[in-house]
Amino acid sequence: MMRLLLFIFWGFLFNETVLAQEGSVGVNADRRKLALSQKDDSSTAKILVRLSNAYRRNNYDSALFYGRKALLLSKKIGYANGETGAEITLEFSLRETGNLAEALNLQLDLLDKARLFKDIYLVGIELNSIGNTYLEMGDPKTALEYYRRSRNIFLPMPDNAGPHILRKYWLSGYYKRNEASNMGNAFEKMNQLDSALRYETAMYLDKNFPDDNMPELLSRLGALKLKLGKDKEAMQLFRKGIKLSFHQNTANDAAIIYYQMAVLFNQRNKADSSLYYAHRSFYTARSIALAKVALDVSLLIADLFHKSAKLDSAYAYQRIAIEYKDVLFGADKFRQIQLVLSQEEQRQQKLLQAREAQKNLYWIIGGGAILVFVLIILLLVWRNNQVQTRQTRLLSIQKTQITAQRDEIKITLENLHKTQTQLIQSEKMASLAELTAGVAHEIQNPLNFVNNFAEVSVELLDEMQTELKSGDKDEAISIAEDIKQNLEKIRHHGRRADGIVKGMLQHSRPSSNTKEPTDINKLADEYLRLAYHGLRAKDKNFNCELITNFDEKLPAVKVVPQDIGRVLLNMFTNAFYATEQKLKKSGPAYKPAVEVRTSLIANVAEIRVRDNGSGIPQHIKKKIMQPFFTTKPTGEGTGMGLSLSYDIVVKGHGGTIEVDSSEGSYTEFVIRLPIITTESDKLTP
Amino acid sequence: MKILVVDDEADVQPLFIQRFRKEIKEGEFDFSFALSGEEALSYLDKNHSEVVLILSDINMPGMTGIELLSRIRHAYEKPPPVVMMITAYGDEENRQQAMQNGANEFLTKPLDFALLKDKLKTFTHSQ
Repeated sequence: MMRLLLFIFWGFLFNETVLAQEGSVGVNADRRKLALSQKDDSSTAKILVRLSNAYRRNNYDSALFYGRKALLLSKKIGYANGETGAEITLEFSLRETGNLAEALNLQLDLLDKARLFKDIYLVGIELNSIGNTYLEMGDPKTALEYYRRSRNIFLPMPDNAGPHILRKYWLSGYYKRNEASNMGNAFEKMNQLDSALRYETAMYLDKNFPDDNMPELLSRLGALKLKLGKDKEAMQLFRKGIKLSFHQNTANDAAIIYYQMAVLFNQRNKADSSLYYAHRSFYTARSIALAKVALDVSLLIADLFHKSAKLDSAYAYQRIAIEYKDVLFGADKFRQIQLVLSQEEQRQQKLLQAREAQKNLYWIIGGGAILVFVLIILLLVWRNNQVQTRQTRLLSIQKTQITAQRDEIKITLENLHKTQTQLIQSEKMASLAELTAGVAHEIQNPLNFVNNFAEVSVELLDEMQTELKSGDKDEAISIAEDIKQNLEKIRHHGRRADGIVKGMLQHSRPSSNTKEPTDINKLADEYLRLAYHGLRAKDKNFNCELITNFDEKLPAVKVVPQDIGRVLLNMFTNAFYATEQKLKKSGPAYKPAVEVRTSLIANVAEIRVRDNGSGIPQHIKKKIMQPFFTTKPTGEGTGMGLSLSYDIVVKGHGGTIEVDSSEGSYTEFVIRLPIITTESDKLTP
Repeated sequence: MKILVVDDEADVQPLFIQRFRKEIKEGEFDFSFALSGEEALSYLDKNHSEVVLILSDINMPGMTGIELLSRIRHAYEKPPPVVMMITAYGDEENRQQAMQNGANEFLTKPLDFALLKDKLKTFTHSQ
C-alpha cells in the first residue's frame, strides 16, 4: 500500500519540473491555483511540492519557501506523501544552499522512511543525496561510498525500472548514470584524475545519459580536462555546457561553468576574461543563492582585484567570501553537522542496540517458547502418565466390578434357568388342569360302557342259565355270543380309559427328551379330544365341530411324544378358545369348527390346526411366539404356550411353526416336522 | 314303539339292544340309531311318522343335542315326538336349556337303565 502511494508521489515530484524549466508555464499555473486555493488540503500540498521542485534548479529561495510550506501543511493535515515529497525537494535545496546539517537530517530521515516502506528507489536516491552532502562537507571519500551504494542499487536494474521521472526518464536508467558521474566527481575531488576521467568520459559517451544532467557532466569533464592541462578541450566543453544550461534554464550549472571558465582564463593569465566570467558566475550564483559557488567565485574575484591592485574591490569581495564561508562552513554549521552526525551515530548505535535487544528478545522469546514447549510436553507426559495410572486403577476397579457382575449374572442366569424350568413345569400343570375335566369326561365314557356292559352281561348270564335250564341251547349260544362281544367291549373301553390316564401321566411327567417313533394321527386325535372336553368341562354350553382329516400314509415320526402332545394341546386349546371368543360376539348363527389335518409332504409331516374363530389381529401376529405374551385375561393364560411350542418344534425337533390368520374369520397353525428315517428308525409294521 | 337313539358313541347301539333285549323281543320297543344330529334329522325326514320317541345325547361333535331338539320342535308340529335329552353334564344350566328348547325329559350319564325303562314305558303308555 505504502509502496503504491510512494509511486503516486513520484509522479508529482518530477513531472512538473520540466515544464517549469521550459517557460514556467506550469509554475505560473500552479501559482494561480495556489492563489485561488483557500483550503488546507492535500491538493494544495501537492501544488506546493510541485512549485518547490520547479524552483530547485533556478531559485533555491523559492524552492525552500514552497518546500517548507508544503512540509508544514502536509504535517498539519497528516498527508504522508506530501510530507515525503516536501522533504525530498527541501533536502536538495537545503544542501545546495549550504544548509548541510538540516539537509543531512532530512536525508537520514528519508532514508529511514524509505527503508521502512521498503522503497528501494527512494533508498537509492537518498544514498545519492547523502553522498552529495558529504561531498559538500569536503569528504569525497565518504561521498564516493554513498554514490557507490546508490549506483549498486540501480546498476543491476534494467534501464526502464522504477517510476518515471522528469517525463522522459525511468528512475533506474537515470540514477545509475547520475551516480557514475557523481563517483567521477568524487574521484576528481580526491585527485584521482584517471578514475574520474574514466567515469565521466564513459558517461559523456553514453547515449542514454540524461540530457538534464548533461550541463553538469560537461562542467565536470571540462574541469577535469582543465586540471589535466587540456585547456582547449575544457573550453569547448564549458561553452557547450553554458549553451545547454541556458537552454534548460538551469542557472546552477551556468554559475558553476562560468566559474570554471573564469578559473581557466585566470590560469591563462587573461585577467579580464577571467573577471568577466567570474562576475557572471557570481551574479548567477547570488541570484539563485548558490552559496558554494558564490564563495569560490567571490574569492577568485577578490584575488583578481588584488592582482590588479584594486584593493577596495578586493577587500569587498573578500568580505563577501568570508560571509559565504560563514554561511557554509561557519563554526555553527560545523557544530550543527557534528550534531547531526553524532545524533545519527547515536541513532545507528541505538538501532544496533535495539537490534541486539531485539535479537536478545528473540532469543529470550525463543528460549522461553522452547522452555514452555518442553514444559507443556512434560506436563502432557505427566498428565498422560496420570491418566494412564488412573485408567489402570479404573480398569482394575472395573475388572473387579465386571467379575462381580459376571458372577452375579451367572447366578441370575442359573436362577433364570431354574425359573424357566419351573415355568415350563407350571405351564404343563396349567394345561394339565385344563385337561383334567376333559380327562375325567373322557374316562367317564369308557367307564360307563365298562359298567353297562358288565351289568348287562350279568343279566345275560342269568338269562343264559335260564335258557340252558329250559334246554334252549340255541338261545344260550346266542346269548354267549353277546356276552363275548360285551366282554370285548369292556376290554376295549378299559383300554381306552387306560390310554387316557397314561397320556395324562405322560403329559405331567417331566419330558424324558427321548424321541421315539410316534403315530402323529393318533396323538393329534387324542389331544384334540382332551382339549375339547377340557374346555367343555369349563364351559358346558360350548360346542364345536371337530373335523379330522388324517393322512393314513403318514409314517411314524420320531418325536418326543409328550412334547409334541403338549404343542398340539396348546394348538387345540387356542383354537377352541378362538371359536369360543367368536361365539360370544356372533351369537348362535355361528358354527364353531376346529379341524386337524395331517399330511405327508416329501420328508415332512405336516399338521394343520385350523379354526374358524376370531383370528389373530395383524399387530400382534409377530408377538404371539414371545414368552409371556397372551391375549387372555390376567390369570387365565401363562403366555408360555406358544413360546414353548415354538421351542419344542423348532429347537427340539428341527421343525417349523407357521401361522396364517385373518382377523375375524380363521387361524391356521402349520407345524412341520422332519421325518428322519434311518434303518434302525424304521417302524416295524 | 319306534325309539331313535342319537349318540356319537357307536357302542351305545349294542348296549341299548342288550339292555332292552326283552322289550325288543316282545316287540314293545323298536330302536333306531343315529351317530349325529344331522343323521338323526335325515332319518326323521324319511321315517317321521314311525318315530314316537327320541333319545339324544347333548354333547356331540357338529350339531348338538340341544340344536337337534330345537330343530325337531320347529319342524315337526304334529304329532310332537317325545324327546329325552341325555348328557354327562347334568347341571342345572344344561337341564334348563334343554327344557326351554322343549325337552320332555333330562337324563344324566351314566344312564340308569331301569329308570329309563320306566320313563319310556310311561311315555308309551301315555301315547
